[in-house]
Amino acid sequence: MDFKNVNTGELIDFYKKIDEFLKYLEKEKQGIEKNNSSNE
Amino acid sequence: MSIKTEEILEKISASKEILSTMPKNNPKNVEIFKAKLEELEKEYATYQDQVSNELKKRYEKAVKKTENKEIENLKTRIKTITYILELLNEEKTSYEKMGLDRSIFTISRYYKENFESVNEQIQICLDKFSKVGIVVSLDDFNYSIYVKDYMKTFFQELKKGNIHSDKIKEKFEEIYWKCPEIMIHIELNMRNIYFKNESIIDKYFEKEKNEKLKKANITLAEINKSYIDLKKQLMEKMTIEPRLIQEKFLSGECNIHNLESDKLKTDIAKILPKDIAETIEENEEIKGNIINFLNSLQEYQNYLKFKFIIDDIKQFYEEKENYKKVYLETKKEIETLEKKLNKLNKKANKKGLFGIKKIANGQTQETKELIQTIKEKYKELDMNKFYNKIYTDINEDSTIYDILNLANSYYVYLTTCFIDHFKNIKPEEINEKVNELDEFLNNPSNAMIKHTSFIEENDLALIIADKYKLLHFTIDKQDLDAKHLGALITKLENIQMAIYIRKANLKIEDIKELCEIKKLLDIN
Repeated sequence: MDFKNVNTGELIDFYKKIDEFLKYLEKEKQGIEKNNSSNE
Repeated sequence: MSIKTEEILEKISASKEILSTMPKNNPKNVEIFKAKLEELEKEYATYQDQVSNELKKRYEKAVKKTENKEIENLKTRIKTITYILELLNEEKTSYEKMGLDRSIFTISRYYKENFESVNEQIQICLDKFSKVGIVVSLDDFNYSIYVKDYMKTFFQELKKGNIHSDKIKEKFEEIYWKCPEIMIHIELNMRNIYFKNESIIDKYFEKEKNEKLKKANITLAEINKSYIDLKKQLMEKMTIEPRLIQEKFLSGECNIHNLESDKLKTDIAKILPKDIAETIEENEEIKGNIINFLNSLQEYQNYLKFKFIIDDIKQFYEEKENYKKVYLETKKEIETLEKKLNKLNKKANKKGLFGIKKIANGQTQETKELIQTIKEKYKELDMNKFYNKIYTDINEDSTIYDILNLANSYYVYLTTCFIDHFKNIKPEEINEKVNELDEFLNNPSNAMIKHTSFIEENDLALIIADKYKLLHFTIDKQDLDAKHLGALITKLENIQMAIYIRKANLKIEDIKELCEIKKLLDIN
């Protein structure tokens, strides 16, 4: 990815949003696994 | 944002939308959902890695690492002058100049220290004697049979370069149960070695002082001026050194959020009228006044912190006639007592040396009591030396600085004063306080304490408030009350920092970003 035209403040925000999304994905995954184990 | 990053952010929203509509009603759908989650996780972890690498690259580029050579040179020059000033210090005797007061004080408070640090201080004492040309050997340790026995092992292990050896620990264990006062005996013996060699040590310092003065070819007044000038230069350089400013924020010592525009404006509005506050950006005079105002407040705060020392010394000053001869009298008493001890020790060993057989026999009650008396006399001597200094060196023209400087030259008095004032103070905290006082007295910005008599002690809060009111600050004497002073200083420190950041060609916004990157990526 080319970040030439992205200033540092925006890049920090971008990092935080990706991080937030990854945490969201992780939470969804945990939800599925929790459901699976309770169905078993 | 670039097109690519914008696209990714839009993709995140879309992915969330897709995920929320995906069915999870049977195992097959759950597996499809899980696979999608993993696919997205992999994709965005890659993006995150790329962003993280770019942020790290920018962080490394922005953080200043090169040391300022000018600052290092100034520090070296100040160190040299400090050594000369120490030699020229008329308040200290050779005992304090050697630093024996500190080491012996630590040994005397062995019950507050650990065994290792007491042994280290014994070694430091030996080194200090050696530095002034006195080679101390086992023959000098004659205070008691136990000292001789302990020091014999100590010297043997010192020769091997291991004063923390098991052999020393075992020797201490063995002696301690026979003589729990062993460390006191060592302390007194060290003091005795100093007195026996006092005139040689005095001559060493006199010679060293003359040589340094001749080499530097300047007077004491010139050295003092030079010291203050160099300190000022150092402080000026350090306050606007980009690397040091960044470090303060990255280490957490300062909080960049205190310098946010709105907060700064509120702080400025509290100390300056609106018309002046609005011109602060381009008004160099008012910026200078803010820094001077802060210096005065910090000086006043430090004065309040150490006022109890001034009050204590005042009491002794009022009855200073009583302390005219106390030092010499106590010194003579100790000499007489030590002669008596020497005779008792010789009597206990006809050969004049301590043999193994005699060690096993222990020491007489008379010797024990005599050593206890000498110990008390040495304690008295330390304090009488200081009180005698009040008699000889303090007069009605003495300033607050003179008084605190005298206290700062006498470690035993100073630490005793701290122990009395701050109940339950720990040994390491005592040294912190000693260093704080030293730092305060060596601050080149001090103005009031060097010009205010310790007897009159004018209303310093009112003097400061009046001065800065004249310079347009909205300030009252009440703002300098103990409970408000800290908050006022914090406001001014924030404003001062914003001024220094600008002078250093840095930007508050950039520092804020660096702090954020450091926190996000957990950079050490």
